[in-house]
Amino acid sequence: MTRVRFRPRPSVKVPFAIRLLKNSPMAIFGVVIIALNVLLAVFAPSLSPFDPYGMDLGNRLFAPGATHLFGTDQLGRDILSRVIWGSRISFEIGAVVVILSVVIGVSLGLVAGYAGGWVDETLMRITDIFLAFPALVLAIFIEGAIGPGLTNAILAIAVVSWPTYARLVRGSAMSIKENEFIEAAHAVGEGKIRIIFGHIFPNLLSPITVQSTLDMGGAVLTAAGLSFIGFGVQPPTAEWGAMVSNGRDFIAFAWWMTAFPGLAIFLFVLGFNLLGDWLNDYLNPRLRGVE
Amino acid sequence: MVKAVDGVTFSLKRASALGIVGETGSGKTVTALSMIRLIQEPGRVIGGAVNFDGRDLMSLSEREMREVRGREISMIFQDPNTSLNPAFRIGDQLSELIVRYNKEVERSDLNFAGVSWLEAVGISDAKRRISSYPHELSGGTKQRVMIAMALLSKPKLLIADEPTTALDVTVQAQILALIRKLKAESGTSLLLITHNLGVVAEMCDEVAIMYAGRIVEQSSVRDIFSHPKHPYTKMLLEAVPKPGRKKLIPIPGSVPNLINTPPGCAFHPRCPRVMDICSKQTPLLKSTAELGTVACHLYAEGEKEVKV
Amino acid sequence: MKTSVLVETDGVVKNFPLRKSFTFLSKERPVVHAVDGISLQILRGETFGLVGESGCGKTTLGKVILRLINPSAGKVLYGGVDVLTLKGRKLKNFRKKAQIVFQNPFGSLDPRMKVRDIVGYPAKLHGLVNSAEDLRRVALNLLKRVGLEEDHLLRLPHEFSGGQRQRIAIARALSVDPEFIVLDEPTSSLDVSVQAQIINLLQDLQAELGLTYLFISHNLSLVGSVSDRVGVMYLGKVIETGRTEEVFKTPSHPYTQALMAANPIPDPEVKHSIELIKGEVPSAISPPSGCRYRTRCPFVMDICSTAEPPLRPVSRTHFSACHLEKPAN
Repeated sequence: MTRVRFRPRPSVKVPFAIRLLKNSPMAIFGVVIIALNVLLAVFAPSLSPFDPYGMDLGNRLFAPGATHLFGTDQLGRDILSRVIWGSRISFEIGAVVVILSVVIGVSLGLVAGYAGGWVDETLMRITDIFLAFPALVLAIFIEGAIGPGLTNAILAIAVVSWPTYARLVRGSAMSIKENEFIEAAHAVGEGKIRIIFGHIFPNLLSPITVQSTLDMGGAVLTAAGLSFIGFGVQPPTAEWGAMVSNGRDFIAFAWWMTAFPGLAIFLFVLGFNLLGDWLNDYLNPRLRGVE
Repeated sequence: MVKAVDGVTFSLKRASALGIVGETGSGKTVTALSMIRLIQEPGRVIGGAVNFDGRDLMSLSEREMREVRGREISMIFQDPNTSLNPAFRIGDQLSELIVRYNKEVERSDLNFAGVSWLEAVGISDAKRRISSYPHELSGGTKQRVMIAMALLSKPKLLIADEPTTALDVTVQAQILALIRKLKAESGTSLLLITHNLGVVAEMCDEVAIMYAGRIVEQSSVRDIFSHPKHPYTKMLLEAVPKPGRKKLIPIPGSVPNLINTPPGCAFHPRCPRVMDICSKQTPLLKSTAELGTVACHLYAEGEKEVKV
Repeated sequence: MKTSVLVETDGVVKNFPLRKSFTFLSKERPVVHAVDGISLQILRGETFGLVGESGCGKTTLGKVILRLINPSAGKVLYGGVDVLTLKGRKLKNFRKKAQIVFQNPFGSLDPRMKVRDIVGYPAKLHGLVNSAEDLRRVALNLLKRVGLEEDHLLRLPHEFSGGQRQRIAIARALSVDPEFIVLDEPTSSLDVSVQAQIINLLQDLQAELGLTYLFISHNLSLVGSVSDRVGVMYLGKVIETGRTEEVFKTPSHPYTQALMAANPIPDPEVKHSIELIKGEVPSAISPPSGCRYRTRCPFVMDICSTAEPPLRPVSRTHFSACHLEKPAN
């Protein structure tokens, strides 16, 4: 029997990812922004100089200065503290929305993609119905029905976000299903459940990861939009979108009330978008079995 | 840097057929593309000359080169699906070329000319099929259209890169017969790139064997099969399935990674007759006593095989 | 050595319905007749070659035999038992005994699984290993048997070449200790030298383990080299079958003759490949009546369009489905 010596290629692992990351300044910038936000969220109590809800009517509408780095709003609350605490809420919104929409969307997408036939048709038509509405409009609709507030805003945004995952997963599951390694799993005697969760699902992780990274920013943006028009978070909660909305009436002479929370939203979304883009480039070629 | 092709020298006579045989990574396709300067970034031709009909193609301007390509040198490729534009009918694609290369054809006669070409390449019901889109045609028919498109300019040289690899055996036989017939009628030279030794045996007058970017042996088709000189050629012939052959004799090891080509002769790690010098010095292509060349330290210039 | 029948198909038919198309006005959905009534036998310990051009149904037949696809009609008997009646434990047992190696080395391995798991999990599934230690040991043995090494265990498929991946696929097929393996174009995408290595490996394994092979390929010369008996398929039917030497030396059916004539031989002294065949393969949706080959056959007669020829003996070990009294010449 021929015994052959082969020289295997280097294993592609985490060190490789870090090396690749170094080549992309945009991605590094994104990671840095996210890291900063994480720090703010985690250490909010220690980092925030004032109580974000502490009203100080004697110091209303102060411009940014030595004590109040980002100024104060019309109730004398320190904007910097509110921005810092706002990062907690942003992460909460992003994380919960993503988790909910992933759970719902991926389950439906997997079933539709694997089962095919009328199951697929039915599920996809339902998905289409949800996708037919502009996200913001549908969220307003839902909140109009169940009432405003942070929790309800999160639910509404999740309802609007899951169809993307369902579509994504269904398409990917269908194409993965056509691969011969799925047939090989059948041939070896693996059951349907094992094939779906042991083979199809792990190969979906990449598109799901990319989409959820981008959705972190997207969810926060939608929440900000909702708060801006009065749905979503209610006062006095220090959510960035609500802060921008709050500052609307004062924008002519207290620009800092809208500028800083607005900047915070921008950076948060940008950070996740940059990371998501880089992840997309990094994960995709590997999937195609680049030699 | 990957040296896909490293010092390839060969000659092709008028109206004859040269086969370039090699496995993956041998550099055969890159050689052909380099000859007509179709190598794209980040690849680059960094040296050598291509003497075609008295001119060095490497010294021509891009504009002059474009005149040569398609008119004097035509190329057909392996995958008929990607070579024809799926958005246009084949009649239109043919007409575009007829207008460019057969200026004497009147516009009103374009369809007739197109149909004649389709018939010349053996496509039945040509009058109807000329209005088809590529996806409506079978693989064999698409290859025939490609051949028509390549030959309508009456080129001096036809380069065919694995033209029948994607086709069924019976279709392949038809296409090869067609190429032979058209070549005989028009006196076109043929450069045939393939990994299939059977195809080469049928179609070519001379054969060059490539390995890791170099030509390791070149001689007449008879000599390559009956008196192979290079150990790689010998082993390749033993490994190929042949009716009646019960055992295939494999070549141990694998084709070298072009980033890390073995020093000296690239084949030496797999060669059963390896000597000390083989890992130190790259053998040059030398002429041997019989007509033909080989790049191997077992042979000295002008001699038959070295007695070991 | 016993020459008992291990696998037998009896009138296997497989149709694939097409999506409704506007060009088909009839109420019936058009159907592709991929496999249309095939009855053959594969003997224990032999290599049965199934050869034909694209669209003849050979891959579909291979998958029906393994019950990866359910036939539209007909039976598949494995060791005398109807495979289609198997359920639960018995079905799982069948999967343990009958395995497959696919054509495409790039799609047949899960890109996210380590080689150790690709090769070891099937054994675990069938209760052949009991611990992680065991699995690793079994996987390592299998890799070594197919010519790979220990440091390949923890690598991912994309780190290997095509030939190496086929070795992994073969190791996976062997991991459940099978008796019968369907080899579906196992070397079609590999270089000549790598192909020879893989074929050698398969032949060594067959001798060592007493395996039975169904070798599916469009490469006539390759099938001629590796098979003991051969079946030639055209448009869903087996039109000639018998001992390889006989079929190759004296092909009886006009289609087989055309295939042999068309096959390029690596020997310039042999005559050019000739076209004994005209035209293109007819559609598998509405195949010609009677003998399917009649639209391209140089010897066609009246009876060919009305009656389908059954497989008639040319010798005790050679059969051909043709109306001609004597073998075509």
